[in-house]
Amino acid sequence: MPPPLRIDPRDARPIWRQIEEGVQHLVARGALASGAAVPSVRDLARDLQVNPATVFKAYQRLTDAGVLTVRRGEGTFVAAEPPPISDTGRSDRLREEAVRYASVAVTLGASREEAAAVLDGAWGSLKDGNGKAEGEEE
Amino acid sequence: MSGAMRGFVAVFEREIVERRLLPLAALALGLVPLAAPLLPGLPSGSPAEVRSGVALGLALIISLVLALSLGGSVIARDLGERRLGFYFARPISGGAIWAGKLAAAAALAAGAGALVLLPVLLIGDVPDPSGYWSSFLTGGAVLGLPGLAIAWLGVILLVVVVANAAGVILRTRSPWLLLDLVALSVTVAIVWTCLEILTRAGAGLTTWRGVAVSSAILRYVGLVVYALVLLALAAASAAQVRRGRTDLRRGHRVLSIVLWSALLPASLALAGYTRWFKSPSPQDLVSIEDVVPAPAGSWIALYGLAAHRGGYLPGFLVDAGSGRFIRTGFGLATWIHGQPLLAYFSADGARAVWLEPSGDRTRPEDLDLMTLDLRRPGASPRPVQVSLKRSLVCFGLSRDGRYAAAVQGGRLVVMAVASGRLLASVSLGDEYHQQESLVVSSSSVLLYGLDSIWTPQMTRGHQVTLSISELNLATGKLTKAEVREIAMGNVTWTASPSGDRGLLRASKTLQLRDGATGKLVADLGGEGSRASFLPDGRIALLDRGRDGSDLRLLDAATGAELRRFHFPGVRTVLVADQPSPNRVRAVTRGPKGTEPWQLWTLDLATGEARLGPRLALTELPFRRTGPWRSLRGDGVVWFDLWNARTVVVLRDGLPSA
Amino acid sequence: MNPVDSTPPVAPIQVEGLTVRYGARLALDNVSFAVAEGAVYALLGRNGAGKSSLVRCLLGEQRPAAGRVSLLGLDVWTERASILVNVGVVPEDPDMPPAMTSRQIARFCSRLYPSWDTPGVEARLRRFGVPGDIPFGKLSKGQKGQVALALALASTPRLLVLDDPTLGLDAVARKAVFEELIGELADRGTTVFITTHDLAGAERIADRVGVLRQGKLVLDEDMETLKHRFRRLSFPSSGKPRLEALAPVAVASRGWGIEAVVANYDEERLGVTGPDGPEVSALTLEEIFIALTGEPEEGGK
Repeated sequence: MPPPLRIDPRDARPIWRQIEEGVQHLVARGALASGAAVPSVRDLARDLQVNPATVFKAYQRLTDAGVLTVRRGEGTFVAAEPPPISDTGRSDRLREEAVRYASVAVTLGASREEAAAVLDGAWGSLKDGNGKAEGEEE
Repeated sequence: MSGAMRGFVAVFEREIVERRLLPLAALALGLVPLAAPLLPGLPSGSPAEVRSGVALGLALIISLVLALSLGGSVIARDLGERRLGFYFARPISGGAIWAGKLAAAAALAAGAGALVLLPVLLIGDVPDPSGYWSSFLTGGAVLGLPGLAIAWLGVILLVVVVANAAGVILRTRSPWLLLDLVALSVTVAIVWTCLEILTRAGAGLTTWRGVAVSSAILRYVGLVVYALVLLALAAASAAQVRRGRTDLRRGHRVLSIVLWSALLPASLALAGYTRWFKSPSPQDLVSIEDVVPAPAGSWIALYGLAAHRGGYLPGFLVDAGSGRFIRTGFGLATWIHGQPLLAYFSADGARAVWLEPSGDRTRPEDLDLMTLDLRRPGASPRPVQVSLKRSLVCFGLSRDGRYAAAVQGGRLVVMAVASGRLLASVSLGDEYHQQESLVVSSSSVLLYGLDSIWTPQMTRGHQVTLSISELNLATGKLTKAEVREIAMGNVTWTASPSGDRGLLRASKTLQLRDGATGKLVADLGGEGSRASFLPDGRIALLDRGRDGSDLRLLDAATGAELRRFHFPGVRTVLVADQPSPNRVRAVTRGPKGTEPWQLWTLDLATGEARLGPRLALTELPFRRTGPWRSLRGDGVVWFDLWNARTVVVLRDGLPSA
Repeated sequence: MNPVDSTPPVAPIQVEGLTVRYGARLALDNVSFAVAEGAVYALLGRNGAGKSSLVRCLLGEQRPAAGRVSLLGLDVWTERASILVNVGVVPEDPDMPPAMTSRQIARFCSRLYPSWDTPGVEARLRRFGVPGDIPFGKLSKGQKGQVALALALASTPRLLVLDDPTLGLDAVARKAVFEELIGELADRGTTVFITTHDLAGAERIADRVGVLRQGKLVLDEDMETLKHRFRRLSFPSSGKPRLEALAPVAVASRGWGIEAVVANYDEERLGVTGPDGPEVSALTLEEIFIALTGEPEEGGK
């Protein structure tokens, strides 16, 4: 089953980073279990209609980071114990998205408290729906 | 197989395979001639002849049409429709693309022609093209089927490259087309003019003793022109594909530049060759066919084979004294009784008159009368239009050079030299003679005809007939006389300058006869006697004895001896000329025939013979090839095979004794 | 860290000072660029920008007025035939002989290349759904392009030159072409030079982009750095923003404020962020192309 990875040309991140982070998130969320096979570079490139070199670069970085392991002659797999998303990457991304949310809130004339409350609510609903979402993807 | 070869074969095969229906259609068309004898309206002949003839005609037409259409499209259409990139995007060299495509076009055109012929060949009707095609391709030689095939292949190749160039040029529709047209017309004009000049100069049809035997030079020139055009077109279209590649306009530019930078200089080279061909000097003659000396002075008319010009036979009027010469077109005019018609001189040697083919292309058989004043340096020949044609059989000039007469088409015509005006034209009936000569004066014209049944094998006497026709120019009346005689060997008749007497010479006899009636006046001698008329009408007779030679001077009226000059120990005495009535110049040579020539001045009034200096004479290579350097000297000497005598012409002003 | 960054001794494509003139008109003006081994180079340009001339010079079909093109280290004008053994070409307008079937064309081509992949052609034509025994002239436009691609790939080339291979193709056919191309890249790492109007497709596979405008190469850059430096800024207020440091390429005044595309985005130099600052968004390749060449591209997505 191909994991639900998407490439967004409007995303400021390069494609290889979009793939890298996408795989990382799928692993973090458990959508890709430890030891599960990931698609070959060739197949993923064809699915995403991207240059295989780009996929290769993402896989290389994921392998270097210990998220994926390559078994000779067999393919690429999710590592037995994938590390969590790196601190810097994680905090950068969080801060980036927070700025975006804050600016939307300001544009809409919401107060800081109102915005924080909405964020709390969203957090709650996300946690609740997590299992269900996974079920739908099966 | 090399890469280029592999590309060539691939392209060639692909072009053929794409048109694989063409050979099949040709084969089908080849069945049509089998039914040809059944069709109405075809020329009669045996069924086999009709079948093979129709098949051959169809084959030639089909191959020509295919050569035109395939040659014009095989590269040009791909370029025009932007499909040549199919080849150029692959590892095929431009040369291989060009060669493969054009070779395929030529092979299809030639192959289709062969396939049309195949059915009739299979049933055994082999066409014999020599029946229909002869002179036009080979200039005389009859062409068989293999010869025709080779010639036709050459035509197809040329048509293919011409059509290809035209196809590319016409498809571009660029302003370069104008340049092409200009260059084409200049080239064609130059080549056409050159070929015409060469043809007119006689390079086209060389006559050898009256028979057209060869068109050597024109054929070579034609082959060279063909080869040059083929090569230039091939090189140009190869460059067009190799350097212009898929760009039609650029290809056209390359084609034009290569084509015209090859053809324009080549046509200029042809022009240069033509100029050189047309301007030989007498020294370029390697074999002299005929020489005619003037009765007085040192001019001679000569005619022979020029070096390095195929069978080209130019004619010259040459002053043996100064070496001055004038190129003429006599010899091209006609041959009479196997002898070329050269120049005729007035008695004083001041005027030369001859016939040349008319410059008018619409009257190829017509002759112009040319006159030249020899006393005026720098004078050029003046043509006068007369009604003479190449078919004339005899020509004569009056002693004063003002009147000319000729026998042509059974008529005796007389004309004024200066104007060409016809003075008389009378029918001679069915008369025809083996030898004819004319003596022309302002009042009458004498036509001598000599007939004999002699052949070199005959050892007995045979009948000789001398016919004399006299035309009175004042009355227009023609009177005839005829005498018969039994003689041995070859017989010749020589009339005196005025026509009042004549010498009839046979192998054992020499007779002086009346010039108007032919009646015998005197027997002058037997075997070995040689005689000739001096310009003043007296007779110089040479007798060769044991101790030397005698030159006897005879009165033409009676044959009586006037003077006798004895040359002891001399083998050859030649009378050169008669500078004044009582003075004759003669040259002699010792008994071995290799001693130096010696000049003698004979005073006819006193009988005194004075020995002059040794002479440096130039021997003309008459009817044989040989070295001769210069006409500068004391004169020229040659052995005239036609009349079996040695002739000498001395320059004026030799130091006399 | 780009895998194609390790520069080999000779770039498969090396264009130096390429100039093409048609009469007085300059079709290409001193164009220079290089394509590294294994790279995918996308050449973009509006119609008439000089792409066709460039491709013709690149394939040795046309001799430039000045400059030089080397393919695989050799001069393409003089060594065209031997170079093209290692080059697969898909022309803009497939120019195969119309009477020949794809199979016949393949047989013709197979004799010209030392290593020809006959099963590969058959397999690709099957995948494309192109019948092998129909005359080329009777195939649809898309099928013609697919035949051309199948033949180009069958020669196992070191370099692929694709001249707008998806022009006029529908979405499905376009996807099929890209899938074959991606397969080739994955399997053989072939160097690819592609001109295209399909900017979305190019964006995903090209790692370097060139943009031709009126015969000049106005851009020649890695895709990643290109996308990194271009941003669209939307200012809510109508106050005049200070953009000089960011190299603005297009500034438009909208009813709600100012919209600008900058070529050298830098958060720190922009200075203002937060509620007063502009809304910043990344650009697709198509948007960058439009900003660079002025007007919307016809035939684009």
